[in-house]
Amino acid sequence: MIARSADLMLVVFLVCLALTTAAQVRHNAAAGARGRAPHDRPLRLDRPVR
Amino acid sequence: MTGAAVPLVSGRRPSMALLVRTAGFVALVAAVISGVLIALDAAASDHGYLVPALRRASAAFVSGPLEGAGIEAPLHAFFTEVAVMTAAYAVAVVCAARIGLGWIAAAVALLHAVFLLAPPMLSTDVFNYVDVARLGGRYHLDPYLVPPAVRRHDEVFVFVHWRHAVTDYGPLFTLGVRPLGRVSVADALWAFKGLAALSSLGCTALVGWIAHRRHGSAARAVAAFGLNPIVLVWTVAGAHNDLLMLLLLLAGVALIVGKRPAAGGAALMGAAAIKLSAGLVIPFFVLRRAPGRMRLLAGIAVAAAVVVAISAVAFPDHALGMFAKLQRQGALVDIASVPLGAAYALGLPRVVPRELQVLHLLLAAWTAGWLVYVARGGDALAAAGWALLGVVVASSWLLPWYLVWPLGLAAAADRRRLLVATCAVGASYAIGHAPLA
Repeated sequence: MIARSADLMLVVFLVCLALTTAAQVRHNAAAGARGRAPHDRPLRLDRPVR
Repeated sequence: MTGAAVPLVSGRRPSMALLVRTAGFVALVAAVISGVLIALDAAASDHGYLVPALRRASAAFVSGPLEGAGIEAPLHAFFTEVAVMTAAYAVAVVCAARIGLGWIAAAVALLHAVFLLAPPMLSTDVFNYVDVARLGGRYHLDPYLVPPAVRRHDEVFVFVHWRHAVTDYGPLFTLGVRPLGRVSVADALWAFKGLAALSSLGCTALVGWIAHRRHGSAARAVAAFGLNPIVLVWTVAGAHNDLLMLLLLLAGVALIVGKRPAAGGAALMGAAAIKLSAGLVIPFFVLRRAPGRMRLLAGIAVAAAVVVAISAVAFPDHALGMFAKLQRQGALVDIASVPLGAAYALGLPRVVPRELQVLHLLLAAWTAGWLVYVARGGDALAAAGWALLGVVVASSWLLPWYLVWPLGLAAAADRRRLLVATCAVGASYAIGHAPLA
């Protein structure tokens, strides 16, 4: 029972992660962003993203 | 011809064990080949994506010893190779017990050698390490108070990304790297690369040993950590000090598992003195229901006193500078962080402070829940791994090398779900950073 609940929670996490990743990719595509290296132009919390 | 069943001759039908073993060997070979191709792509890279330092300045020592053998390839080839390596890694982990520890260890050693020789990939952090070493070791300045921009004339400065920020690494790292400030930038760079590769091999050996002591599969643990693309492509090739921190952290866990809690506590504190995030693991082992808790606490206390004393002498005003830097980093948002993706999924234009507040509250509840689980007799190693993964997921500043923290604990604890969740976050990062053009 506990193992099944843990598996279910993992699946929920993976689905949520997939949704956030898809939203990120859609945003990148809409913004026309080329891939950027890590650390390249980090965004600040108090400024608009693009 | 009758309808009677014809018995199968078992000797002519390959057994499931043989199929699994064959699949495992194919995966191992595929992981090695794709890893070598990734390193050779990077060695010929001149567009600055795979080797960001080359975007700042051209220097032969950055490309490294593989430059002559480099393969010029479009960027999508790199992502294809990473995808192949990831798939091969997954199969190798599943089939690890049938492949055998010896073959897996050989592949791990080979891939570490390859990514040691590759140029510093996907990050310029190692040049900030060199700068920290030079500020302290060459100019006798305090890196907690003085940012790289103060020494603009220094030859490493052109490669440094974080130019106006003081260091946020722990005092053990900041002091320990000082001797590298007295050698050339090239020598220091490759010394950090060697340190990262050796630390990663040490981590791989420790996760195997811990898994074996806990009656898990050493082969699976070694494969889960040592063949992982996040470890090899991003962390070893990028020479990140997270591996040094994890080495001490896993040494602490191994000592605790080996019934030497005092030394284990000291090692855990040492890990936190390299990078503060390792400190999150300490309460999980303090709350653990096991004999030797007082000796563990004594080891932690003595090591903490030593770190504080050394820091007070070496960096009399450092603490505020370090914590202020960490606070500033908390306000940064990476383009592939989970909070940013969640904001887009919720229809928000960007990460807003309210979202981060909610995430931080959830993280506090998540960590507290795992602490309660440990206090009630649960596995401290797995619980600490889940807590560290929570930190990475809730952080708006997600960097893939942070994932080696939970990955090391997932491999050592032989926890499949933690391993899958950690690798999924790594995949999300890679997809979020993939070029679209």
